[in-house]
Amino acid sequence: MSKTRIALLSIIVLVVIIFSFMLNVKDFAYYGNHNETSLYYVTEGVNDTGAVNIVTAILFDYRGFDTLGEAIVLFCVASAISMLFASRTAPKKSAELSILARAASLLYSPCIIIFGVYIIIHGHLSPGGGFQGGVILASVVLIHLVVFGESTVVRHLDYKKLAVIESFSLLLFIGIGLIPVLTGNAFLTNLPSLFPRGIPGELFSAGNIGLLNIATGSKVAASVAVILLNMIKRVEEDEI
Amino acid sequence: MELINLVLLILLIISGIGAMTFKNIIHSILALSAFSIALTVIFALHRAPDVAVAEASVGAGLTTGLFIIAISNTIGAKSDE
Repeated sequence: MSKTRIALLSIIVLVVIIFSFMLNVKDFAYYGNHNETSLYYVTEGVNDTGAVNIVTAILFDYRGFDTLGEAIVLFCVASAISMLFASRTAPKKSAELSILARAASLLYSPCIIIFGVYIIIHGHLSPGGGFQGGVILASVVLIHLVVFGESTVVRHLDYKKLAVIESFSLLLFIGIGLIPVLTGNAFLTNLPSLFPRGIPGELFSAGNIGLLNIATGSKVAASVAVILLNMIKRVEEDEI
Repeated sequence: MELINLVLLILLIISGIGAMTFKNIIHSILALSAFSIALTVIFALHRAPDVAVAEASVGAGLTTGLFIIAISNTIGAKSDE
């Protein structure tokens, strides 16, 4: 059997599998309001959590434990990558782009930072949340790596501080989750415990969702920055 | 609305095929980035702004940069020239 035949056959098998899956997925009451859970989220979400953005309400209130798991996964990834590249060093010399690109990046980096912080702290009101805002914050590091060169960024950005921020944001997340435990509630309980409800739609509302968003946002930003700073490391030339 | 949707879906297919078939790896990373941007607009049109923000920041921004850094640090970029 030639390679093209194998490729064609696998494509056909894949198409058959996908189409049979799509025909069957209708039976799961995927559309409309037959699904009790989604109907409950839509009608009772604001009442239960105080968050206007139902996606964030699900992510940080109903499924807050899952979000903790995701944050831990990211922590493990960052740790593994730092361990993997531990023997390498950041380049001492690197090229930078022209003065035009440098000036422009200095102009729009503050705007990107403000946008990322806005996405994080308005997570319970508007689209976005800790994860998206954190990645937007970390993209500033990416832009500066490209524009100013690796060595300049490594000189100005303290790697150890980033690692500390990363670890402490994860501890902050767990600590916020542990506060309700002191009053006899479950881990990561939101509204019936100590946290004020506020008026849904205002910035200071929705109990601990805002705090959890800030913790997740700084966690994701620091993790991604750590991953980026590790991936630019090279093997020393004289070691090869 | 329907027309924009159709154009974007066709763009998805084209950029997906491009990401697989381009000989230069940098070009296929850029095709993947275009894929993410089209997907972002589709998500936004279908009123899933949360997913759209995630796709725009992670798919179009971060992954592209990470891939380019990873490729430029391995021999993958040089082997095609």
